[in-house]
Amino acid sequence: MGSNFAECHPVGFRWAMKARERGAKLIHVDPRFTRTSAMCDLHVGIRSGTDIAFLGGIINFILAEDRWFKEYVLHYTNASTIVEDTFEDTEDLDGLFSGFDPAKAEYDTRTWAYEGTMPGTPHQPKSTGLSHSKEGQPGVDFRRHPPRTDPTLQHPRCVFQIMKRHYARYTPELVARVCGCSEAQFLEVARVLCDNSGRERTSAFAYAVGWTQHTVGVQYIRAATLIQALLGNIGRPGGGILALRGHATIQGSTDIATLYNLLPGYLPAPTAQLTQHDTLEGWLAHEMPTTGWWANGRKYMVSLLKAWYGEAARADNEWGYQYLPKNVGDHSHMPMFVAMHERVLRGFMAIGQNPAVGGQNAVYQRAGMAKLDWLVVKDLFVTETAEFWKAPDVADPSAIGTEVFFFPSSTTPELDGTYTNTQRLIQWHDRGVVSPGDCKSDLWFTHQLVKRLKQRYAGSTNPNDAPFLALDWRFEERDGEATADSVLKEINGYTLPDRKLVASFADLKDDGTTASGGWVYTGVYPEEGKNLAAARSGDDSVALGWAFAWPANRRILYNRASADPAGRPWSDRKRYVWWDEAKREWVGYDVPDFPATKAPGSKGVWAKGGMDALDGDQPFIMKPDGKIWLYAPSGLVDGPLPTHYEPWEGPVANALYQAHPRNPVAKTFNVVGNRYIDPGDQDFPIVISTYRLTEHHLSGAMTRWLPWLTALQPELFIELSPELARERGIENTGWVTISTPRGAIECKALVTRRLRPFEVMGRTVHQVGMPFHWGYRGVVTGDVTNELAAMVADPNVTIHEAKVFMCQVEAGRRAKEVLAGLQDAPRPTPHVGRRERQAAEANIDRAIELAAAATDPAEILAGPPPFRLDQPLGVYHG
Amino acid sequence: MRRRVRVPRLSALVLAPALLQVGSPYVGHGFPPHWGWYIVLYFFLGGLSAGTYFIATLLLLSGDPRDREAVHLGYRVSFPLLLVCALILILDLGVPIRFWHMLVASQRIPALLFKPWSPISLGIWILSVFALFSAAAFVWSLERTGRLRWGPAVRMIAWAQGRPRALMVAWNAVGTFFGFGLAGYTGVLISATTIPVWHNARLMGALFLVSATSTSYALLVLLLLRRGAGRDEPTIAKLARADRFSMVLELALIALLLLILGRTARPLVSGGFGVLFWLGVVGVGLLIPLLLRRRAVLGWAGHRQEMIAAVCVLVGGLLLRFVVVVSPQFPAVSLWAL
Amino acid sequence: MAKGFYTDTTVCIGCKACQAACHQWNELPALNDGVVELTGDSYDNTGRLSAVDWRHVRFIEQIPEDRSQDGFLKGSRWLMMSDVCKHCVRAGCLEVCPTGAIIRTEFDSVYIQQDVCNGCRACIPACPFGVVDIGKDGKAHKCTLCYDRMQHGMEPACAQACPTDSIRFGDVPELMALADQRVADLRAAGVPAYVYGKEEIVGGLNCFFLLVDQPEVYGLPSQPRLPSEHVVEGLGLSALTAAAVTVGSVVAFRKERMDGMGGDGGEPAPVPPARPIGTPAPAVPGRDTVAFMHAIHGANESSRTRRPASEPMPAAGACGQGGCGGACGCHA
Repeated sequence: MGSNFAECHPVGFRWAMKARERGAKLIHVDPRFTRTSAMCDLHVGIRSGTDIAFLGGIINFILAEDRWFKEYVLHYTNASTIVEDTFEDTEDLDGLFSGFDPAKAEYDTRTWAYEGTMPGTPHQPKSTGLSHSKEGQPGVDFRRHPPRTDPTLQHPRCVFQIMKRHYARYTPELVARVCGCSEAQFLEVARVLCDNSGRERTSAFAYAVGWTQHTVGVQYIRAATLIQALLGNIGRPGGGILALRGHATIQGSTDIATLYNLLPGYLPAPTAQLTQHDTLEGWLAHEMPTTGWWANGRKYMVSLLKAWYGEAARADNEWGYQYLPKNVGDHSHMPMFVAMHERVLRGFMAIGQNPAVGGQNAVYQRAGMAKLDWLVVKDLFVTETAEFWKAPDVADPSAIGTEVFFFPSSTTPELDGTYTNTQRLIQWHDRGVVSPGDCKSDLWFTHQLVKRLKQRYAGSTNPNDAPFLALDWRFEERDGEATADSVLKEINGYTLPDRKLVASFADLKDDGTTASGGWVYTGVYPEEGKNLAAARSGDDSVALGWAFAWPANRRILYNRASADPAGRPWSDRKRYVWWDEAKREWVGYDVPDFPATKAPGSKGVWAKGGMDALDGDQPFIMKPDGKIWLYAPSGLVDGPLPTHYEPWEGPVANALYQAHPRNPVAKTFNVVGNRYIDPGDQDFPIVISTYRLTEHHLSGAMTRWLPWLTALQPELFIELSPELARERGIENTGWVTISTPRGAIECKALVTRRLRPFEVMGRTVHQVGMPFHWGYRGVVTGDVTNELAAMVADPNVTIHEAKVFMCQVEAGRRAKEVLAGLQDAPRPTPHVGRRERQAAEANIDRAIELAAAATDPAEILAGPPPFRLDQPLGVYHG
Repeated sequence: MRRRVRVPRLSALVLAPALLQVGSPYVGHGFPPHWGWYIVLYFFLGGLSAGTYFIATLLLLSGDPRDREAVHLGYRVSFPLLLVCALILILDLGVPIRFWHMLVASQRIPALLFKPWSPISLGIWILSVFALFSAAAFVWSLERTGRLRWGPAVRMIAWAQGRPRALMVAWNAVGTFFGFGLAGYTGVLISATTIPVWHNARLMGALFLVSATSTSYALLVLLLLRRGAGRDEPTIAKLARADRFSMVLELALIALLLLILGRTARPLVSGGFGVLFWLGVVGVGLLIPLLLRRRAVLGWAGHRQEMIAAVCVLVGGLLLRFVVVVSPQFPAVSLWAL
Repeated sequence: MAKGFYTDTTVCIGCKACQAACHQWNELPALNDGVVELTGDSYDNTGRLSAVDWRHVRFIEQIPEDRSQDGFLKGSRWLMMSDVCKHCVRAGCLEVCPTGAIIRTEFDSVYIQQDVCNGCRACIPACPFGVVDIGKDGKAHKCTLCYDRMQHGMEPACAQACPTDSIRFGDVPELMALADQRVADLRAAGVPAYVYGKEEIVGGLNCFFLLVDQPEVYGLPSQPRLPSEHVVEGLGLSALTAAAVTVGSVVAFRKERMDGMGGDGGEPAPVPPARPIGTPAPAVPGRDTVAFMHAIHGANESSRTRRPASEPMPAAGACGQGGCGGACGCHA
């Protein structure tokens, strides 16, 4: 579900096909009949944006039909945990959970806490943009005692009972009504799933951005978690929830984070908006739980700071914690472009990114770039972003003051490095050919940039420059670039001062004697000359000898769950990791994800904290209580349980909730040119979903310049059903105009029965789909699909909602007239008005002041910075 | 007349079973070879070259002195046409300079390359061999009519004249044989493909051959008339009669062919090509000439009418090749698109 | 040992990696340099195998018109198949090639030698599968089964690129065994699978396919024929017709002859000339070629007097220089 596995991840799909050849049953649940559907035993068409209803239905089916894996659920999940009585469910509040603050459009997540674990330190997120990434905090304080449980699952406030009540309404009938599939189809899926789960068998979910790109994206995946936990499909071979990655190493870019809210190794980035983050101690207390594996957080953080700031990171300066830049708001993609419009953001580097085509509401984003002072683009080709000023909607390029720098980029075969793919497998690749012309690697670019900046700041006394001066930038240099090898070594980590590579993150210390640029990767380079990412001895099974999977070369996370509470395999067929009574240790085909000698029966001592607090039958060690969270008492800002909300732009009312049909805390951007379509607006009655084709990659920046590929998919098209085509008088390959309040584009029609109208809540809802690979540059060009999409996002991670929004579809080439008709939705102009400037100046002053406050050591010693941001920059709330 | 018509009937009766027992026609798909006007012309002119040679020879052998002019005309038309054919054929190649690859194994020079089962290879050899005979006849004709005074040639012919009659006959017979080969193989070439309408047209060789003779008759008649011969002159009369015969035979073959092709004949008989086929090939090419030769129309002078008939036959012959060669490559094109 | 492809269409996901890999390895230009129109024919935009597309992925959408709630559940198929040269055991293109450019390699594959081909294009319509095509360079092109790679022990680019092993490369008998096994498994699962390319298909295809529908559905002929099939037949019929034509003509001439004798033609029968010295007496006047020559010469004057307009003929004796080598009577 939520993925077009075969088309967008064809290489990974190899294994799905292998499984199918060996008799596995493949099911595809998707609005369209895609190349993936064609390969599956069963395809169920559902309306875009109704997956939670479908999954919720399965949850209800499992509970109602009593198909859940008793022993697994009892021991390995928090089903028995009792929740605080402050919690109120959406079922009681018509679409709201408890703790909702209408003014801020936020929840006070403390009301969802486990009983008796109401956090001592209040948590005040200033912006829904902040991802308080690590589960377990804030919102739960485990310092006092483990959460109370009721093993009989009878307590009305135990998670199990709460779930039962929450999903009671998700009947097959409701699923069919909301999703537009038939009850028969739904039930077949539910049965197949249940029949294929248990001691003897396991099932897996594979998802991609079809699940994430929604205003409830995170909850989609949570819903799958609930199912897999109830069926005992996590931590076992053939189970799990597989995130299919859209880029070669997008997994790596979150591990060694390129995200604004994460430091490498999933350590939350400090933010100026949390008083707790003013000091390292405060940060640790606030972000790192005392029980479970994350109790080691201090070691990892200190090692990271040592890796970054070297000698300058000392015990007396919080290991250089204050050198870390602090977030002052949501700095994810879309808010950045809002900030451009406000002149808060004045310079921008797009490295291997093409927002001019790939960005939601692309016109708005291009207009944003038109207000920058400078723009750096580093890519394989001169992309639309590099030439955003040549966009068709730009009347007068000379009116644009942005200075654009283009750096031709090397591509994978031209450089050494690693890929980290979806199963956390770090695979090394060697340079095959030398880059043509001036093309340079990103390593070269970054290395040279840092070297030049350090020169520039040399001798500066400005506290703002301190971090750069402190930065410990020691890499082996070749051809002017830092070698990937030396970078990987630093990420792996080494001891200080002798700089000997460490073999495992267990060896990392919090006393400054170790450094590691990303603790999760530690072990990938255990000793000199032994780069495990380059290891290539595979087999047909777990293949531990092939490359290195973090953490500690584990292929399946939480694999202790592949054995029963007593440490015996659930079944011979599914034997994977088990307790060897003779050796008194955990053994198996994989690296056990559990303290090697912690016996199954051993009882944890809570007071001791860390791993000692957990029992021998609590496999989910990254959780403070060692259990899967069916109910998430914290870590999420939009609810502890997934619940069905209609998409921000949906065709029908919510079958469950009248008052709050949409995610009440969804992140919206009420800015010029980003008007939303109200639910049920008949001017835009058609559901549209955007997606990728096998033949192209994302915005086409890598593929639309290759004739071999453009010949395979030459033109932008819209896929629509014969029914809709008839209704609108559209011919196959005829021109079509698609419009939303954000924009109007033209493309050719691909009329196919692979799409069909849905019968939803007594209404016929038409669904169309469009790839978004085309732009105005390249061998083949086409309109930019993303000009249609709205900027609206999931509140947890600010992922946009591109997989479902509303639009209008007409025959012919009418984009110009339609645009002229969009009076009430003025298009953003690539021009900076005076008012905007003034606002911008004000903003920027505050930002500078803030930065100073955040990074001046003297001031920090004096106490918490005086300045607090009462309103985050660049983000508007609707 | 009755007797003349019976001949094709008989042959049809003999051939039909053999032809029709192949069962359902092949409906696979080969792709068109991009054969255009060059090939059409080659097929047409090749036929004329062979036909004129055949007729001249036949007249020669039948020994009516009044045909003298026709004989020389035939021989003197045949060879130049053949040269044109060769030229066209070479020009039609994707890599003309490599035309000789068809005769010599380019990688094992001077080993010759001959694949009898490949009509195109076969055809090239037939063409080459026939060229000798045609050339010889050409030279002979020139010399006989005093156009050629070149010693060696003169002596050669003198020597040839001296050979026993049987040898001369044999020589001419062999030449004619290759002539027929040239006229017929083009049709076989067409059927040696996997494009259904071509593949199933195993009569195409025969059809082209008959068409070749008939058009050649027409050509000679036309030329003779242009030289002022009267319609009622015996040569003209007999040529016209023989032509009529081959035209009737052609009609019969066409009928038989369509019968065999069945539905796979669509490219020929439908769309714009269909119009050309029925009106052009059958109508203008066969029916109208037959009609013109049976009775006076519009009170034209007899020999003018004969001329028109001859022109019609030639046009029909050209159209036949055009339709057969081009139509399968552009299925169901409307007449206006042509 | 014959090498070939086993293409299992049931695991083809239509990713076209084979097409791209083929282009890259063989450095083939893209169709019209990559700028083509959307065909609207499912996801197929290159149309067919051609001089620049030696692999071509077909897309066949089989979805019932009634796609009510259960529509997608039952009876919907989207068939995909990566087509390629079949490297037939009895290859039509090889048969007809008049230059010997098309050869059978040591791997039993069918290969077009670019340095020999002269672009006669006979091979194009000769192929029952529409594989061979003429390139911009005027020469015939098609899949080489990556002859160059094979010579270095590498598998063809497409097979290596195929993510789902829909395309397998190897020794034909082994591949065929694999295919038969797969067919058995699929049949057991109720899928009407079969192997296309056993002996009954032009003697066998070294590159064969596992299909689940009629060959025509995939654009393949169910009974491909070889071009040479009708050659003998065609030639024979031509010969017969030639005979018929000759007979017909002779008859036509003879009749004229008789009429001539009857004198109704107004033409005097030719005067039998004086028998030249040293020439055998003709058995039948007029059937004797040599005598005929004299007839012509003798007729010269008469013909000239009769039709001055006619081309000037050399007067008798004009050939006296021995032009007729004494074969004529002039010098007697």
